[in-house]
Amino acid sequence: MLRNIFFSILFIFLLLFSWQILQSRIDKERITNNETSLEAFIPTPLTIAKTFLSDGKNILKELSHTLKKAFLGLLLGVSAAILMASIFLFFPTIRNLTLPLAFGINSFPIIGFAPAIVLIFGQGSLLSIIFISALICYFPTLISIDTAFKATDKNILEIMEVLGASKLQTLRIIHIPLAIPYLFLSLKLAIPASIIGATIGEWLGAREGIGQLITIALYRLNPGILYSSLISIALSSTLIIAFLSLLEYFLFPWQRKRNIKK
Amino acid sequence: MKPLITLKDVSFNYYENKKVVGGVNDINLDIYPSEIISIIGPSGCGKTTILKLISSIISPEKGEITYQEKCVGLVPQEPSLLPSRNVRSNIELPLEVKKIKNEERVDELINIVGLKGFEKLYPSQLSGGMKQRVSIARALVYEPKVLLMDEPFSALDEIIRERLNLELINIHNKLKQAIVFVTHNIEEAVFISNRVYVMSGFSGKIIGKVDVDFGREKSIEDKFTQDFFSGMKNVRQLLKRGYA
Repeated sequence: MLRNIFFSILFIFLLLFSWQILQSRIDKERITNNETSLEAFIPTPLTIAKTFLSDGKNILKELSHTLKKAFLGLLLGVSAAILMASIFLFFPTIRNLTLPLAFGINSFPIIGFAPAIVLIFGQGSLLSIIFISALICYFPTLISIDTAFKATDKNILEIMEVLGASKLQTLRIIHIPLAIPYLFLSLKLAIPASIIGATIGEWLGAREGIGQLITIALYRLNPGILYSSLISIALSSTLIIAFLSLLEYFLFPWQRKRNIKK
Repeated sequence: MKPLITLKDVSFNYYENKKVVGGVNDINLDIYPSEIISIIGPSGCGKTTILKLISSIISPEKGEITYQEKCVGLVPQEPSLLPSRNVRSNIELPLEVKKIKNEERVDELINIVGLKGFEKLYPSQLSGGMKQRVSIARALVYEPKVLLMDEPFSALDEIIRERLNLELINIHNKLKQAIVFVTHNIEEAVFISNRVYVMSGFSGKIIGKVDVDFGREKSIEDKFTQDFFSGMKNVRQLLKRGYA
């Protein structure tokens, strides 16, 4: 595992190094030909690193605002999805009636749907940003958990029936533990989605957060800040997912233990 | 002796577009305390349906099932253990559902099924035979009067199957639960049972029974006796009729 991480970092470093060399050469030629430097549109990795050094504190402050909203959105979206999947399990008629509708709503592009949410909850309001973030991670989680519940081993359900278990007991003892790997998988998809959702919410008129910083960088034609903000989002998302994977590794040992006894 | 469970003229059908696509018809069966009966027949003849009827997972369309005491344990074809629970915790599952604490019973069963020392292992660390032994212990932990076993060893190789047949007989000798054992293996049915019920492939009916309780201890040596061969021959002849 450590070897893989090392090679991934080495690969990224080589990629950035090649980007730096290539862009410097292109820029040299463009300046000789009296053309605008590429640096005005696409900053080199070195410029991004310098921006991080000079404006890092500000970027991190704005990022923390975004992550807080994304976390609340994630919590709301995932909890609502688990609750809805449980309702689907107990009442299959509700599932059959509402799931096609859920797929329909999910087909709306979030970038088009977000202004409608802003109209309801108010521009830049905490609630609208949390709601956009929750909405974007709600559907993948719902589909994942619903699939997990539907895929539960029929034999074990029959055993629970023979034992006279209540539906709630079956949910707690069988369905939820068996859905844990699916939940973690959906969280890995929902975490970046919730950050994207919060960023989109901030674009539409927030006074703080990385989305607002990106908008300012765009208007001020500051690609350094723009790229640094984007990279900070990607990095934070990756780090949270890595932490989640680590958590999964230690909390659920049965997933990694294999064939001690033949 | 009064039977623990009696099935009288029981029928149940499966439907697809209002057409019957399978099921069982006019099943008459008595299950007495401490006996092992096997149900054998072609695939799809309704063997598993009989177990589902006995365990009340489905209700008969016709006929009736009477119980002296309704308390059955189910061992499915696949062990169906919970991957997040270790051996001990999987065995304790029925006690958790029934909100009973009985550490001694769990310890006793772990010993009986030969899993002492493996209590903390997860299902992913066990062999097929060990998983099936956990499944048997799980079904026995709340002391059911009748154990229903649905082709529990069919996925295992011949040697492991034979070993588990012997282990099942040992467990039965210690606990004396009645067992209804579904299989499609003639040798297995004759070896472990007191009686073998043979089903027809088309009508979903029991077409005959063979008494194979010829006063034996049920050891591996039985398999080389004349009684055993004639028991197998009788079951085979009935089965041929079931296929015809």
